[in-house]
Amino acid sequence: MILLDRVSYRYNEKQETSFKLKEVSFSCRKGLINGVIGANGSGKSTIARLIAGLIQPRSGSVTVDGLAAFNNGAGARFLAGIIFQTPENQIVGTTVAEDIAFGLENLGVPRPEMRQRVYNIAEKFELNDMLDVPVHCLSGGQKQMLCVASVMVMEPSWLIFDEPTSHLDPWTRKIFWKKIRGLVAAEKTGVLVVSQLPDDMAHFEQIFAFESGELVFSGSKNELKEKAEQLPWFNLPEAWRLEKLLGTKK
Amino acid sequence: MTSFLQFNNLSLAFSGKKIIAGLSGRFISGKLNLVVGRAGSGKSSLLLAIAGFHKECQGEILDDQGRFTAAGNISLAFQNPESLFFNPTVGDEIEFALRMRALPENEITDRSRDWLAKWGLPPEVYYSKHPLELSGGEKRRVALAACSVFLPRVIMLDEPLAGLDFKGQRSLADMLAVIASDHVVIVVTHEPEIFLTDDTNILLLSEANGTWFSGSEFLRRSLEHEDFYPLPAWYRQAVGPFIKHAALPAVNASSVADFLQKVR
Repeated sequence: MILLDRVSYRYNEKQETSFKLKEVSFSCRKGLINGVIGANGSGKSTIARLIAGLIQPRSGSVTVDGLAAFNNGAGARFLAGIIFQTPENQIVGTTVAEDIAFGLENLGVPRPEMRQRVYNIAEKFELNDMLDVPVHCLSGGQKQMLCVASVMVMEPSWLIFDEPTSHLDPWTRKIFWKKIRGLVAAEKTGVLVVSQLPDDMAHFEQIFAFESGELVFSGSKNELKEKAEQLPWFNLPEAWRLEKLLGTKK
Repeated sequence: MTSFLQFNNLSLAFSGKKIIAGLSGRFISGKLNLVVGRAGSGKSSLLLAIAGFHKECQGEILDDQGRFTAAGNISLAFQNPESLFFNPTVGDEIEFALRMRALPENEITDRSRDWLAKWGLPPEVYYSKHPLELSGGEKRRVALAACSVFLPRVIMLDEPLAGLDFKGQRSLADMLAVIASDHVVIVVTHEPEIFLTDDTNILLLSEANGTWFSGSEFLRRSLEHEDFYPLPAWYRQAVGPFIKHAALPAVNASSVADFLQKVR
């Protein structure tokens, strides 16, 4: 379980205009697709970074499976892996195999085990025929899959996706969501997706909505649908707007 | 003024491998031109070829005056253009292109401030801010404003919507529609539905071939075969049964609701 207890954060304490995350508390569990929504500048990506342990909360606590997300100590279990919006920003290897192995090398995994784990994960993400392919030869969709594979190989308890589909073509988006559904159904790995695309929201089962650094809604998609009218910050997805228009015009 | 950009038998290769073979057709001003296709289909390479940056290129690119010269006549906004910020303030960022063109100093500031306001960023709030202290959507708007402030004849944007929220996407689409009335505006996108109208000009790249469609032809083909182009599920569901109708609605709830009322 991911638990945020009265978490606040500020990028620059000295500057009044700096983005501020105000005392946020929520929890999310495995077995369903958790989604974080909100407009640009609402604090979505800050939440993702806090959970992945990349930044330290100014106050409050962020725990993943009961352990502090930030600075959880060398050798500890890998808690939450983050996959960024632009795959190029996190590919570090020159070939597919090197990139997948990078995290394992950092964790000090012995060579024979490393080789096996790299191969197994590559097979799962249909990259096993490409292990020696230079990363710059991959398409955008393949790069995205490589990033997921490179994080998954470290067997994190949770996967955090920051705007995962915004650079994917619509064909690859369909494949992406199919894989996520499979992952969530297995209940071994938790999934939290940060996205503002209405098409992505259709896949979310538990939704956390942010506005100007505040958590303004948490609940199921149906609850959001019911309350949507009263939420001024929320842009109705076209599918819901259509339902409403047809309902009133009948 | 450039009113079209014409390709005659244009072929592009990447490290010897053909990515576009024998493309002919034209982008025009007066309407938005969209380029769509799977990842790796050559969309970005086509923009680079127009800009004169892609060297493995054969065939002709023409405009109203003959062979097209890219230098000074184009603006190309790459994916994530905000990563190219290099000035200390938003104002400097916008003014840069005008300053390079040696415009009078007072004109530079007036034009830049007006242009920034047109992108929905009031200059009194944003002009002296540091570009990196803006939110993602604001950064994108500043970057695109900076790329287009000198209004070149051909404006090209590679995935301008990625990472923008709904409001940002909508206002960008409206802004581009205005600029397109008297410029050749070419947009590479995975979300054509936001820009689509009946007469949008669409180039679909697939397996080295380019096929041109009007907005309505594109919608019809997408509804006929999901794999041709996966449109949002709600649109397929609502409009799919009425595929034979002459004019299909745009991909937004109000157009679809009006359409359904008429056809039912």
